[in-house]
Amino acid sequence: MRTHATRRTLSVLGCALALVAGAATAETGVTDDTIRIGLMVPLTGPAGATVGPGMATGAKTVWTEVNEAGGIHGRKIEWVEEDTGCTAEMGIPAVKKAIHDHQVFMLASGGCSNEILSYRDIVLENGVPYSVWGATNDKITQQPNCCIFRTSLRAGYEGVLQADFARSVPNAERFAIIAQHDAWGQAKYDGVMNKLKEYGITPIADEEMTAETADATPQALRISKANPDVIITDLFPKPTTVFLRAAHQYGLTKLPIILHTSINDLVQLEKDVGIPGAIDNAYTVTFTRDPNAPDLEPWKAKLAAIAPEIKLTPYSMWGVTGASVVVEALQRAGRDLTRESLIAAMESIEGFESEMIFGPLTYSAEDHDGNKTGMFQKLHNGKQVDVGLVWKAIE
Amino acid sequence: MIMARPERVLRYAAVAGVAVLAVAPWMVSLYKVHVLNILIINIILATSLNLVMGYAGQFAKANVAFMGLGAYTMGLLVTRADWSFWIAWPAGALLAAAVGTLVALPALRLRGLYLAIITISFVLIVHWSFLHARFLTGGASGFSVPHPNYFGLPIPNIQATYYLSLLTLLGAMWIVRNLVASGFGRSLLCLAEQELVAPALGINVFTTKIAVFALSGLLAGLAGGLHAVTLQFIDPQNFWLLQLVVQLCMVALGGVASLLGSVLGASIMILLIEVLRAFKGLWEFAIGAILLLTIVFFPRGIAGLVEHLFPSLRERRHRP
Amino acid sequence: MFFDLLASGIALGSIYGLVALGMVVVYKGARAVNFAHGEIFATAAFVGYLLTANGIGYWGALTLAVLVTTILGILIERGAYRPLANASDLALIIATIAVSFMIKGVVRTSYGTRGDFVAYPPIFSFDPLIIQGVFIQRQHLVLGGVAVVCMVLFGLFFALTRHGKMMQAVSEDKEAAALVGINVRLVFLWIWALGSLLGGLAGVLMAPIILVYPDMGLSILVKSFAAAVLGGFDSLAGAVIGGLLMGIFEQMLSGYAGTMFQDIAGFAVIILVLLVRPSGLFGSKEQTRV
Repeated sequence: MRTHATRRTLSVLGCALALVAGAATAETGVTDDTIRIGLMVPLTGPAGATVGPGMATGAKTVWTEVNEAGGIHGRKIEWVEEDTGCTAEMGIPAVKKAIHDHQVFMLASGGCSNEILSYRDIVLENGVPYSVWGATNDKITQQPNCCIFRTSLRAGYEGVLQADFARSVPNAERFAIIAQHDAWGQAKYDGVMNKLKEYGITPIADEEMTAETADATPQALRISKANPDVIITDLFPKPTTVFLRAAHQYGLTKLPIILHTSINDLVQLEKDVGIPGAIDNAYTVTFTRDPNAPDLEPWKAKLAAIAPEIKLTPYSMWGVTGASVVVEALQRAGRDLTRESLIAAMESIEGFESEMIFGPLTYSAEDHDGNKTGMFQKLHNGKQVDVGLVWKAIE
Repeated sequence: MIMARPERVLRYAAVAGVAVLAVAPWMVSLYKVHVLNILIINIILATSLNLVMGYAGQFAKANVAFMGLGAYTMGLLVTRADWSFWIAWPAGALLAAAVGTLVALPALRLRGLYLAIITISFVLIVHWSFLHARFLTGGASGFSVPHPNYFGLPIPNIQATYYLSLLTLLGAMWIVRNLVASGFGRSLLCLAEQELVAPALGINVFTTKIAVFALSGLLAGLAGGLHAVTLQFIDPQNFWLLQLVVQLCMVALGGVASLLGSVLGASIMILLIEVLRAFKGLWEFAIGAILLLTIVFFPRGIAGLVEHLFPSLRERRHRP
Repeated sequence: MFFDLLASGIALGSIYGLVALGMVVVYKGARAVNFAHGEIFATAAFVGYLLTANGIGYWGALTLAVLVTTILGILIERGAYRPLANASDLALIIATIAVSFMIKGVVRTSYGTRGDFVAYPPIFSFDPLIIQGVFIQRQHLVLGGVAVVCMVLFGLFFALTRHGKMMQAVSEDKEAAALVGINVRLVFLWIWALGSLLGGLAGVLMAPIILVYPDMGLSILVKSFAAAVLGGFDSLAGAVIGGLLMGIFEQMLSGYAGTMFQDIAGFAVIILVLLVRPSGLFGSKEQTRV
């Protein structure tokens, strides 16, 4: 414990020093007409390759538009993309390269939780502002924390939403959970379990699946045997598909099944599962809106102009949202841009709206988790409809 | 002929290499210091794997597990039990060495692919344990590891850790070099070439195998501890099949049963991985192509090529 | 529960078995462990997906995808195996690992950003057959059937046909085979083509079940390799039986002891079996190289 405390003090001190040093001279990564941002995205590795390109394209779409309109206070945004691979081994050198070699003004995006946790102290010690768009682990934005902000839902909070929604299902007393116990799944799983524990609930089935599991029959059988009222899942889209197919065989898809923020396109999910009726009772919690909503249509063309194969997925939507928040903060910080002024500007953001997300983002000096708005959705007559934060029958 | 003898050139090159590595932390950015530090640690790992696979001719792949055990033991003793790094680090390496002797037992009976798969299974089970022993390891989320206490050494922690790695590497190379040239080295040679005949020549297969696995485990365990304090972070992802493949490639690319091979193989692999970052998705294709071309043109690795050009450099050992 | 687990274990095991079979064919015929085999079936699945997505029917896509992997096998033979015919086994293994990196890079790049995975259309719908209350997917039946048929066909081929015997002869003694007038190079080319054909077939058949994604090769490959070693690595029947045992044990242990053990169960068995039988269940004693 003691070592942790000293490290924390040190990193705060480091932040302060870096800020003072930054203010005295011309700011790192800022010239008369450019602002350099390190775009930290996973482009390789099993977990990374699907997340990174979407986030990067979302960001580039927003920033290209801003640059074409003349930039921010006379400065254009330039970005250097570094592959974090979703691992500590790739992520640490990537962030060191961005900070020490590319001399970026700030960092943005970030892919997986573990990669960010592994280099979190390096970011704090160097006092570099970092806007995190996808990773959900609670510890990333934990205070004291000079400079890391998040636009996605914190995993612990998402777990609370899932647990509360599960409890709101009429007559629900027996809860089953199935989760990936890797770095991604563990943070969400802990969030749900902690909340359930608060309510004095122990799940009657607590099953595990990996991203690679080829057959979920044992999971489905065990859950079916436990006879639950609700099933909570924290699985990547692929294992979700594998699980739902097996679950359907044993009649589990008649129960409410609760999904999470990485699945926000239920129309696609139904196609992938390929069994009519298998997701009739699936509810997903999301902070990004339905990608098939008509008013988001123009974004599809805009994204395609930057990278033809990128679709409107949660990942590209995270990128658009996050990049817009960065633009807003840079606007607020004014022409005299320093890391300190950017952080102050970021902390002053209140009620920032983006068409990609349900709720506004609000930051403060004490709270760097700006996003507090989730929404449960389900598929109804082939369309994704809002349910709210508690269960209700959709007619 | 005024041409210098190749041995001497090699010796000069080694001294020059060490000199460059010694001053590097003050000449290059912290990013490059990090990459060099990882490179040094991987040379130790390649040496450790080469000891078992190259010199002793045992197709065992448990190295990644030894490395993980070294890292986790050190990290947990420091963060959970408040041990000093200077006790926890060797403790982790000793545990890895002890487990190494256990892995040597099946190697007494199993050979070739069968030994490979049993050791790969061992790596997967150890990785699985790191992931699932949450009460101890924190599971998949991993945990942060502080810098070692350098007792007021007047250089920054990052550079100090770098020098610690460098010193460990030099120590490891010295030990392995002397060992290979000794009677023990000749036993290894015999083990690799003619395992069935070895007992008839008065070689104790049992102790030789146990000893070489223990030493390999010790080196990998030390490297694991260094790896953890360099990344300042430990999670199970670092001790999985991918690392195993990368280390295997290092040994094969550099050259089997060759110290020079371990050095060259690890250096080239790590630098390639960093340089090819820019290729994004094509990273894998590029590294695969380079590996394939190297192995097709120099089936005995780059060290094999060097020895082919300068036969006097051939280490006193068997042909792999 | 027991029979459900058994059925799903057999289903999963036939995937491992079919993949293992391709590896064993190459090993039997060319004495090479092909670690690019995982990428071969991933390529087949991806190519098949692209074709079906562009309106080509199931059987047409299957045929073309298998053709692509067969050509891939021939390329591997020419580019990686033949130049290393006289090199060490380690060099050969590294060459196949290098090839796997290359293929995966190409697949990943052309896969682009299709998301986490893409779904492959099955031959049959996902409505299971219900036999005595046990659910069985038709796709799994096809897989299991193909695995057994391939095992028998290749078994007969090696044992009875002139070509098959030639391959055996070549793998046992290259120089002698060449001396008696066998075109050694052609035989190796055939072996790699056949092994990759099997890999392609496995890829397309299992794609609807395990779904298609760039990294689909690794985890199935490791388990199938383990299954092949469990069976003895030079035995065709051993590969299929090893695969089935692996699948059944995985599902049984995770069903009864806990799903956390699913991923590791097979490897625990491997350790136990090999400690008792160092050459696998059906392996011949003197076959271990490397």
